[in-house]
Amino acid sequence: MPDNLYLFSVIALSAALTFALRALPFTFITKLRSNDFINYLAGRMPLGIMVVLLASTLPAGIMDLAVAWPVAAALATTVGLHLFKSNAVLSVLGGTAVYVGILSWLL
Amino acid sequence: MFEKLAIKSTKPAAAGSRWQQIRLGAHNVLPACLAVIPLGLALGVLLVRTGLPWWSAPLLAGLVFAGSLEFLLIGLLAVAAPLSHIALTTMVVNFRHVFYAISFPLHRVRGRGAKAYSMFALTDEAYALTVEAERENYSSARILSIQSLFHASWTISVLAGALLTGLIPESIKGLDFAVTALFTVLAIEAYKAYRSLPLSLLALISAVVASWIAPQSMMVVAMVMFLIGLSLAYLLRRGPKESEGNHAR
Repeated sequence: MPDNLYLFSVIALSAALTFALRALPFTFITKLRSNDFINYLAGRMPLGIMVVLLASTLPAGIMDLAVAWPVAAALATTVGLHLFKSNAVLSVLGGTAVYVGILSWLL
Repeated sequence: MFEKLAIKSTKPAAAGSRWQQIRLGAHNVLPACLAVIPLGLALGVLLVRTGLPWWSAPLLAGLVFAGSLEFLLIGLLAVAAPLSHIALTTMVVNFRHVFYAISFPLHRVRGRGAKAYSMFALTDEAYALTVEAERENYSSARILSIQSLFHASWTISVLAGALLTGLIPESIKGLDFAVTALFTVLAIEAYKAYRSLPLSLLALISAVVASWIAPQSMMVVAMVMFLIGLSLAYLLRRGPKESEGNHAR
């Protein structure tokens, strides 16, 4: 069990560094707002970053069929619901319900 | 002066429209708030089962406010890892955030304190949920509403997990898929805003290659690869002559 000083130090250090990573780029990005290349990136980055974040949350061993098929079924549910209903809450809850159902009761 | 009025005004008319903006933000952020509840509960449970005091849960969640890093920190705290190791892990895991300044609409947030908070709370979800800010003309109150409600939802979920550790059944598996589903929805929305199949494929290939060559820091490696690909696309599209002209300008 770590002592409290260590605990506070870890939280403070981690919080400060995270804030620095989030805040410092803004100090020079405002000067680059009119830059053609930065604008090119700004419009195209969100889509790519969402795809990367989505991929990073997939469970380990996704190349294994036994791991992959519940994920595929749940993803299909989320995408299908979202394309037909356009309700983000429903899409998230629906896909999660399918995944939890398969993992908790079928496997 | 104007900035102060925009944030602090209590005039009925301004307050009314600001309330409306806060509600619009709440509508935007609701799916993200719900999606992180199971993950927050899981983090709180893990924290207490690791032997950390319950009150460290809201501190960790509220101050660090970066979900994937918080899971790693619990493991590092448990083995009393040196602070240098904590610093290195934080830099590697959260390095992706340096890219978010390029498209996050900070210039729309009014007031110095509000801007500081907005940068502090620039999570993956906050970045994703403000993609439409320019086109849809989001107000300062709406952006802050999105960020602060998400902050509250995450912190309360982690605290609840820490306090209710004994009550949360272990038989329910797979609730963490909620975050995958959330990013799926956000990716579809980002695609609607910028319909490009080659761009989606570039990101997907970056993610696959990165998870193969650098499984420990897949996110940042994938984002760097995606950025390099985008830069090449920019140079090829413009041609060398025109891009030189842009540098001169």
